[in-house]
Formats: sequence, structure tokens, C-alpha cells
Amino acid sequence: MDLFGNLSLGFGVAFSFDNLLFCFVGVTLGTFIGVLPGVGPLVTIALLLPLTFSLPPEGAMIMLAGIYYGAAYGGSTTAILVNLPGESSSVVTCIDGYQMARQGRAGSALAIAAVGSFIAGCIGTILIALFGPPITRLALQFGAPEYFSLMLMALILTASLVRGSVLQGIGMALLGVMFGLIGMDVNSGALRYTFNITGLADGVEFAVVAMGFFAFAEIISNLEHDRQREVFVNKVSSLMPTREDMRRSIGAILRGTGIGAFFGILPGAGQTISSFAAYMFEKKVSRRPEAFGQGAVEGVAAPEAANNAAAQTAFIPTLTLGIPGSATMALMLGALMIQGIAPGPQIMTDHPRLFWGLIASMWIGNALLVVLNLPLIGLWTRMLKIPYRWLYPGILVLSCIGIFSINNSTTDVLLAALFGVLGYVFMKLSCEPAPFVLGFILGPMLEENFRRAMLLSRGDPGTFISNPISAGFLLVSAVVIVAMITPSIRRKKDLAIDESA
Amino acid sequence: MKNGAFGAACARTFALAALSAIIGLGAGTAASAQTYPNQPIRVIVGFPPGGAADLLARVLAPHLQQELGQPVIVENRPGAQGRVGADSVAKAKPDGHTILMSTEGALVITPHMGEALPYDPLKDFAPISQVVGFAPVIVANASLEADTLADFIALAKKNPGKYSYGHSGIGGPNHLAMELLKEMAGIDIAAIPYQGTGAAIPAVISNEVSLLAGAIPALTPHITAKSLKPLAVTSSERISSVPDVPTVAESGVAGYEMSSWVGLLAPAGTPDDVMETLHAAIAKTLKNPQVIKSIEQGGQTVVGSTPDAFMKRITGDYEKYGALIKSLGLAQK
Repeated sequence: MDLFGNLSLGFGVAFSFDNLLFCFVGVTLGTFIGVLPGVGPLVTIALLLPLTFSLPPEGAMIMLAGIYYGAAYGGSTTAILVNLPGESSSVVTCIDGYQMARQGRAGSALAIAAVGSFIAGCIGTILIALFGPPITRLALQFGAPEYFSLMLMALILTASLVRGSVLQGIGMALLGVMFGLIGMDVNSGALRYTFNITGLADGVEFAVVAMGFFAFAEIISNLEHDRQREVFVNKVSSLMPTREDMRRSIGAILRGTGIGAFFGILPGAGQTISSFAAYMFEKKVSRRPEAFGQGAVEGVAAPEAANNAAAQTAFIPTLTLGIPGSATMALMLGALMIQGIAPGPQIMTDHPRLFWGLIASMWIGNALLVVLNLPLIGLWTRMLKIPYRWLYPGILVLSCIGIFSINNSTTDVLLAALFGVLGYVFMKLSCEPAPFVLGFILGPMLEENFRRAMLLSRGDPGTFISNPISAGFLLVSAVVIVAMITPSIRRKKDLAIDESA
Repeated sequence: MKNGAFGAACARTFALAALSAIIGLGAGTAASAQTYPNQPIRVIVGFPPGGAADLLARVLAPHLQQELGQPVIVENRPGAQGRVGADSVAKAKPDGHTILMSTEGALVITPHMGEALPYDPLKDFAPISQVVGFAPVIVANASLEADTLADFIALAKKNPGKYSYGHSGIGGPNHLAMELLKEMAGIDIAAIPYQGTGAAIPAVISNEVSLLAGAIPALTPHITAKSLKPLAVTSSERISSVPDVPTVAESGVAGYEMSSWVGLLAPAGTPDDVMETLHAAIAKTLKNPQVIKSIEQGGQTVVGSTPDAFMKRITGDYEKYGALIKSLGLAQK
């Protein structure tokens, strides 16, 4: 009853000519800036903010939201085509998406990403309409101990499921955590690992690490083999996914949506964890885990569906509690404040047109993204036919401009170059970057929540066990570690992974 | 080679012509190189997009542009809690084309936190005007057994170490406001840092911490929903958007006052006539009803003080925060 009333109100708002136009402008702009390396939604939304002051709040939010998820989608496009993750959540898409592109299946990968995102968007819209208010209550169940245990579990799971030894995976994750801790300590204000470089005082930007580790390292390693470089771009075959691709993906998309919708509720960490979790889960349930990392279509479908579902459910805590999940969300909250609308529990009842209009426009935006991107797939894949000697210097230059634009800082550009070299060294040592990246993102939050939990419990570590949700996560982590060090299981895992090599 | 040089020269001439055309259009009059402003004006914000200073700069920029007849560009130079941005303006050419939109943090708080500063907060800037003022409200979880600040102080005195409060970052105004309250009221409650007020709101709603000091517009919806109860505002007078909430001083802590500001500053040594032009432009902008409405909806009060009054405020706050941080022992060694 209520569900249909709310949704029809929402679609009534979103389907007005003006709002459709705002939505279209937003997702189009978002897609293009998402494709430009480093130029993220944050900069774009900041530049467009003054324009929205004179718009009605619904139109303003619909356009800004369009930029937000359009950019997330564009970020996945570059992840697949040139191994360049635009957002932290598309790091996972790089793993199998880029392999698919190398095999000439970029078109299928892009189409699956679009379809996966759209299906996740449809289900996400219904979930929000059904469970909006209870979702807020669930978000409030998560305090410092729960967050700490959840992140610890995520790190251990990722580290244990990578190719190679568990020890190496955990080592990479720990190294990532250490890099993540660069900068000012939240609890004391002390500067750590900054070596008196002002540019490091606020830590290292994620975009810097992602571009260095993935795009730059890939370019360096391509320089090694002189002739083979252009091999994969010559056989861009099918633009559309095969029936087989679709059959393999559909389950992955549905599972990814479920995982993403759950993690999206948790502000801050949710979106990144969701795509990693969906990937890991898919690898675990798959009948052919050995195909993952070699261009498995499920490895693109699941994380793409997950991060889109998470992006959608993330709006609930943002709008009803006022917790920004990311810097971009913080800016959108600022835009709402200037409109005189404060996010809070009453937003659904006081501003139903805004709330449900935004939800409905997300669905429309996802549909527009599919319509916009399916024809563009041909164009994007044709970009890969640009001779290597032009394409990659171009990517390098654009990436550097993008990195510079984040903080207007030259230190960041130099750092990206350093991470590129580091990434290349890791590639040569066959150390997987995924646990490092997750450690880098979760490390600071892990520490923050651990110390906060300890402060709140007055120094009693029992708080992590006495708390049921937290204890559950810790139990899973413990089981995983025990399983991994038990020789028989380890042998089986090695065997499974060896088969793929 | 020769061709290249010729091409570059052509390009430069063309660029100059285009630039002067733009300037001419923008100013509406024929601008010579001597009159101010003769090029785009950059407003530096020392924080990423979305913060108080950034949003304010973006609200003001289109209006300043109209007053000054030159494009006004908001440029974010985030880093080290506003110090990177402040430093870039301190070292900019003092011609009025680079100005700083700053909160009190980089000028009167961080100089006392023990890190070496690359600029002198009192000597390297020429204040143009304080733009807005604002103050946090102290809220409590709805289940707390105290409905007023006086009740809470009595409760905390009976149970030292039992309660805790959340704040938006070490050395930030909200943190210092609560620490000053602890010192003046003589109570012992634990300080729990969060990454911004947004992250601390769920913590106080779910009773992870008992109290929180934060920006009024962000907390008002939760006060209305009765998931949080307001105890006091930290300013010396009550605030119009929450008229029923008493001040801390009214609640039995005589002489208590903490409030924040955002202001515009030019590099020291900017010529007097340029300073006058800038001050006149901001003063006129702050009388625009649309600007006033946007600012007040953000929970802030329009101030628009003279350069002298702003300077007095800066030096006064500099001493006040210096003494507070010293007595609290917050500085890094």
C-alpha cells in the first residue's frame, strides 16, 4: 500500500520533464568525468554546486546524484578497458574486467557491467522502498566494536583467498594498512610517517595509490615486451555478451546485489567492502574458481552489481542520519543544507517529494546509463585500437592532471609515480595488489574503531567478544585462519589454484 | 624551430587578445592594467569541497564576481587542517587577486598545537572582513538522566569517568568547546574523537557516547525527532534558530563563551585602495537578501565586520585559544 503510494509519488516527481532532463544531464556528465582518469565526482559536483542554488531541491539532488553514480559507472569503464580504477569500489572490477579486455572481450565486460548495475539498481530501489526506516535502525546497531570486527574479517578473508601463500596475502594487507596510516592521527593529532613533508600530513589519496598500482604499473610492465603489446587490441571481437556470459552472470548479479545492499547501509566502509565481498563470495561458490583472475565474467558482474546496490542503499543513512559515506556525499549534504533541508529522520515525512523523487530517479538514472552506455561500448572499445604509443602516454598525462586536480598538489603526482614503481615491483614478485588496496582503505578505519572501542570500554578488550555482532565476525575470522593453517585444506586450495595456472 | 617560435608568438598574441576581450566584457568598462581587479580573483579555501568555509565561498563567489567585474574562482587547497591553503595565500603576491577564506583553525588554533608554522598568522595577513559567526550546540542522548546542562554537571560530578562525549576532531572548535566546559565546570568525561560531526551523530543517538557538541543545522532534525535533547549553546547569547536552548553561561558556568567564525583575508602588504575595494564588495554582498537567506539556512549568522574589528577578533581569539590549549596540555611535543 504505502510502498506503491511512495513509489508512485516518487516516479511522479522524477518523470517530470525538468527532472528527467536534470537526471540525464547528471548521468551523462558523470559518465564522461568518470571515464577521465582522476577527475572524480567530487571536483565536478563542487564546480556545479553554485548552479544548483537556484534549482528546486528535487532537481538539484537528482542532478548531483546522477553525477555521483554516473561517475561510479564511468570509473568501471576505465577499470575494464585500461586497468584504471576510478573509484575504490572498481578496484575489484579491474581484476577480471581488464583480463577480459585483454582477451578481446571488453565489449562483453562493459555490457555485463551495465546490465549488472541496472538489475542491482532495480532491486535496490525496491529494497529501499520496502525497508527504508528499518535500514536506519540497522545502521545504528553498528558501533565501534562491530565496525572493527567487520573490517578485520574483511581483511582476513581477502588475504586468505588470494593466489599464493596466506602469509603473503596477510603481509600485503598489513603493508597496505601501514601506508593507510600515513598522516595525522585522529586521536592525538600527531603526524605519523610524514617525514616533514606537508603533502603527506593528510595521508595519501586513494586515487594516487590506485593509479600508481594499477594503471602506471601496468604501463611499465607493458614496456617490457616490445612487440606483443598491441596483440590484444587487435582482436576486439564480440561487442555483446554471449548467451553463456549471461547465464554465468545472472546468479552472480543477484548475489552481488544482496551483498551490496547489505554493506551499503554501513557508512564509510560499505561500498568498498561490498565489491570485495561480492567477488570473494562469488569465487567461493563458483564451480570454476580457477577462472577468476583470468577473465571470468562473474568476476565483473558480481562486484559491479554489489557496488551499485551499495551506492543506492548508502543514501539511506546519508539522508536519514546525516552521515556522509564519502567526501562526495558530504558535499551533497552541504548542497541540501544550503537549500534549507537538513538530513534527518523526518526527511521521508517532511520532504517526501525529495526523498522518493530521488529514489525513483536513481532507477531512471540506471536505465539511462544502460541506454547511454550500450551504444558507447563500440566507441570505448575502438579507443583500444589507438596505437599504444599514443594511447598510453595520453592516459599517463590525463591521469597526472586528474591527480593534481584532487588537491592541487604536485606531491600527489610524484607519489603516484612512486606507487607505480612499487606496483611494478610487486607484479614482478607476484604479490597481489588487492589485499594491499583493501588494507590501505580499511587500515585507518580499523585503527580508529579499535581505539574508539577501547576508549569507550575504558581499556577492556572484552568489549569485542561481549558484543554479539562483533563476536560473530571475530568467530568467522578465527575459523578462516584455522582453516587456512590446517594442512589438508591448504593443500586443496593450492591444488585448485594450481589447476588454473 | 623558427616556425615553432612564430606559432608560439601568434598563440600568445591571440591569447592576450582573447584575455583582454574577456576582461573588457567582464568589467563592462575598458580596464587598464593598473586598475584593480584586472585578472580573475582566486578565493583559496584550505579544505576539500563541502566544509563550512568552502560552501560559504561558493555562495559568495557569484555575487563578488558581479561586484568586482572579474571572475571569482573558488580554489580548494586542502591539507594540514587549512594550513596549506593559508600558507599559499600568505606567500601570494599582495595584489588582491589571491585571497583566503579561512576558519579560525589555521589562524588562531593550530599555531598553538606545537607544529612549526610556515607563516605568521598575525603578521602575514591583512583581514578584509569576518563573514559569518556560528557556535555549536551541546546535545545529549535522549535517555540521559539529565534534561539540562546544570543537571548533567551535577550527575557527572557524582560519577566521574562514567560519561563520554564525541567530537569532530582533535584541536577542532567543538573539541575545545567541550574541553573548556570540562575545565570550567570541573567534571571528568572522556573525549572520543570521530571523523567529523556526521560520523559522531549516530554514536550519540545509539548512546555510544552521552554527549556531542556539533553544528546546529546538522543536529536540529534529531532534536525535533526527540532522538537527541539539546542542553546548551556555547555562544554568549542564545541563537535564533534554537531560541529555547539556554547558553552554557546561563546554565551555571559563568563567563563561558566559545564561538567560531569564517572570514576573508588578503596577504599582508595589499595596497589600501585594493583592500577598500574588496571590503566594499564583500560588505555589499552580505546585504544581498539571497545571500543572507543561504547563510542563515546553513545555521550561521552574517557578520560583515570592518578590517579593524576582524583583526581585533583574530588577536583576541589567538590569545584565548593559546591560553586554553596550554592549560589543557594539548600541544604536541
